[in-house]
Amino acid sequence: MQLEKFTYDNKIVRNFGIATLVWGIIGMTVGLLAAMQLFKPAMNLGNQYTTFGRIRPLHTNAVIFAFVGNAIFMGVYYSLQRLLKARMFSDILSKIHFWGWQLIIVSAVITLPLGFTTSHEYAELEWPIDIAITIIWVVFGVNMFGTIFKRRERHLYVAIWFYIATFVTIAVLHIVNSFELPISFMKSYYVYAGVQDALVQWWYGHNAVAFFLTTPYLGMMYYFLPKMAGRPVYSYKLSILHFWSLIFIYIWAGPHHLLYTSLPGWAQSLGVAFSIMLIAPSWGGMINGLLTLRGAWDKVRDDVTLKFMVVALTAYGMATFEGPLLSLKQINGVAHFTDWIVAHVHVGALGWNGFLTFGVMYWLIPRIYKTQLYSKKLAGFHFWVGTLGILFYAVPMYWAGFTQGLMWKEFTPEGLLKYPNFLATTLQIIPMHVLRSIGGVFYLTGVIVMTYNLAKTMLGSKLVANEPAEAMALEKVIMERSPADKAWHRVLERKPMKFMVLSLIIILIGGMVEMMPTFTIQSNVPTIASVKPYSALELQGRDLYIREGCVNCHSQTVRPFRSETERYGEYSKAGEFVYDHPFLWGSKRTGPDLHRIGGKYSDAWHFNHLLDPTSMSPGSIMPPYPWLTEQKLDISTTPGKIRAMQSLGVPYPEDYDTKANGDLKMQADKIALDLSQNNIKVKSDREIVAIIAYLQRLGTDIKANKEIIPSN
Amino acid sequence: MALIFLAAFFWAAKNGQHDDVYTPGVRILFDDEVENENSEENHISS
Repeated sequence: MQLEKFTYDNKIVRNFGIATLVWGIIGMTVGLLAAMQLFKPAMNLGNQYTTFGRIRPLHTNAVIFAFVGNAIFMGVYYSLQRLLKARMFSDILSKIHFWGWQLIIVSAVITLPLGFTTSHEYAELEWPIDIAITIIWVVFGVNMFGTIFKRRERHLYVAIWFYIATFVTIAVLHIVNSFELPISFMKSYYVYAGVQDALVQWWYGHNAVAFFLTTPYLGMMYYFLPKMAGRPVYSYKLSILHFWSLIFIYIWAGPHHLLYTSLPGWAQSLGVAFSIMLIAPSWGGMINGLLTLRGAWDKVRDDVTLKFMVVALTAYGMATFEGPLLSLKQINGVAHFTDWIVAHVHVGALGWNGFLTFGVMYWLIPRIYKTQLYSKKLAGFHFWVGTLGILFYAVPMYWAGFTQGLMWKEFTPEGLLKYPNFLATTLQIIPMHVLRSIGGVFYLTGVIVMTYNLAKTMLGSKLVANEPAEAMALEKVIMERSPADKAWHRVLERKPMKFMVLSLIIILIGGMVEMMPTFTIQSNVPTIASVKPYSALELQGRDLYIREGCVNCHSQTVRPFRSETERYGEYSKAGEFVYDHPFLWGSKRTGPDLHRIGGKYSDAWHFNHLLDPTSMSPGSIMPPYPWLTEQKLDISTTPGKIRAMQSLGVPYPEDYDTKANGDLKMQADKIALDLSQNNIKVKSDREIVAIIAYLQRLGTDIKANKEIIPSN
Repeated sequence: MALIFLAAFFWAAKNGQHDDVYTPGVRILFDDEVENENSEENHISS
């Protein structure tokens, strides 16, 4: 039995910490820009790289993967070493992990404004970057498990259970939601289509929230809160119960993003039921955290890091109560596609993720620099301005969500839509968008003040790059000294591989039960004989729609409510989407749903509207798209796209790839002719012609044939 | 199903008696700071 001396690597913690601050400021600034664009279209800055459709994904990717991501690694690298009483397995892997992750983020900053996107939310990055993410994630996993294997503390603490679950689940989610067929260096098509693609995307999307925004943060909470308060976690048994039930139940909740769509009803119901059940394990985490402060509440008054943790846990409780309620179909019917969802997201993101990150950083940065925080006063200011920021963000967004959702549904006593013009509902909520931006300014100010405070702290001292530590080596064979060591969970806590495999099995169940029948049982996606593949020109137009990020403001799925069928037309059927690689149902209606837009407006209307939306819709906040009239459509990609679609099962005729451009030019010439007859001069080879073709096709397949013949 | 949960309740109530539910929580709070230049260095080591 030897006492071994070793050191903890604090440099990697510091590096991830700095990255967290830098990307936090960048990601939130992009968010602020996006928020301003929603009441002042001039903030789109008149060029294609900074339109809302292109930078909204930049904001989400930056705050999730760059800000939260680096914060996770900072927290994991700090806590894992100390919980296991071992230095990270490999300093080289640590460095590769750090620089690889930053390179991935930089590639996002470059590619997303250029319009290279898969369109799947929080998975927009194209296939080469997906490969890089996989590699770096494996590097992280090897580093983490390598450290676990050389540990000097035999039993794994609860934080590590959460880190293990995070690792395996994110790996599975990322791989499955990256099954894309590449057709060029920065363009690919999802192998899934329509309903199935939607299910995969939202199984992923919800579980990105669960296993990137929640489980690693619960793990960090379990380490940092007891340390900050000098108190043990309230209940070991509760941590066991809520950990396993959380990771099992969360996976099933994905369909709550697809309520009232053409996703099969049984899948929707499962999503609702499991989302309600999720309240219990989520609140288990919150309760375990808050009750840890029993007898230590006086410390919260004087310690700003504890203040941040308390608000974070409270926001977590709020968001994990609201989420399940939003999953109830009646409430979802009002909330879906509105700013209510945006409010919900940001309570969780700003409150839980943001504030926990801030608390942890204020606590650990001074410690690894062996000094005091530069200014307690500034930290206190951050706490209050950040809290104000959350309030000014969430409350206006709730107000906007209720207002718009209810306006969409309102009928006059005669039975007509009270607000038949969508634009009226947009204009009504502009003041709330202004207030929300003020909230964002407050929140960002707090982060900037924190960066200054921590920079002064770091600059005023020297990093303890390698912190000395000592611990006894593990005995080779465990002697079970007490009956407690025989308890089944205690046994599991000293078997990391079994733990990982068990977690993996548990998280696979929900996805398999929901996805396998949707993929294999034909009656879940009834085909419609009159639905045909997109023409070559329409396919190109669809890819332009994806490039410009139209899906960020426009949905393409009409729900079976009278308020929607009156406003948009026939509700959307599963069979209409079978050739949609990827699906484009959208999740927000900043502008109207477009699934039945085909044939509603003339080509000339679409031309004028895209060139300057306010010319057709006075007061519209949609940005103008003049470059679509200037840029030539790249038709050299057409044969490759047709072949790719064929290999994914879309029934174009054999050898059609050689003929496609011929048909494309004919259709484009027709549209250009139609436009010229309305005094609009545009060459038929411009991109705008392709987008008009696509928009005019949307939703017209089933009007083309009144009789729907199910085939199976 | 009710019977299954009833059985689970009895199992949980009975089985918990010998569990040590205290150690995992407090274990993480005992992190001795190692000072570079003092007598803590005089531990047995080889």
